[in-house]
Amino acid sequence: MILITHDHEIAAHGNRIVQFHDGLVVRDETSAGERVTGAAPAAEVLQ
Amino acid sequence: MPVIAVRDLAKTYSTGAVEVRAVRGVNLDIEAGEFVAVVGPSGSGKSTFMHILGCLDRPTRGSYELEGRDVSRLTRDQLADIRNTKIGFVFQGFNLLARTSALENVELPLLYRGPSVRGAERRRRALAMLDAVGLADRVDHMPNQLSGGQQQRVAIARALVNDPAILLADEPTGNLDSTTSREVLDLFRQLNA
Repeated sequence: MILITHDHEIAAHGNRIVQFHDGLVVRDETSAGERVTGAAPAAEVLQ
Repeated sequence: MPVIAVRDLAKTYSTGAVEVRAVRGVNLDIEAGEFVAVVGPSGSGKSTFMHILGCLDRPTRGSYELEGRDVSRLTRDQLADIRNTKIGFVFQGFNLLARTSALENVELPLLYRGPSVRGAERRRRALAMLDAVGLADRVDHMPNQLSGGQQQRVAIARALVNDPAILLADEPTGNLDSTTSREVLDLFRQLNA
């Protein structure tokens, strides 16, 4: 299940939140705040 | 194996002399059963990313594997087949056919699959999905006889009737009040469990 939204309150209903900014993933974590350790988001590599 | 595996995914649009790099190199794995929220402001690339995940568009760079199959270079017809069999869509505006009952709306994706799913089986599966979304008593209602939340439930049943590998919901609560939005989000969570 993949929910697309601009609203962070709506996004909080997901078990995992992937945040986009300027064409990149800048955040990828579970709703409990743990970082997801799958494929590294490109933005995190760049930062 | 993740249901979705995206590597170095990029999408660039060219409009005359201007190049828009909508997605600029995304890596992501999504496992079956996850409830993932993709969030970002307008212009962040999330909608372009969703279009690629939904096989509505192709990336200009990188790979996208859906259930282990690279779908990033398929033809339009192949992508249409993937959309019909592997992906369920829920949109902000419900996109139900007017003057068509809830039951017939939910049967539509099965109808598109051709004669492999016969009429009685189509009806049985559509009724089961409408029951799963709490609309067993509204199957013969037309969209204009249903509330916004009920229409979205019909759209969710339609998206799931093919038992897709992934369900993509694009701003599904955008046209709903806050109470109904919570109900729809709870339904997503319940169906995903």
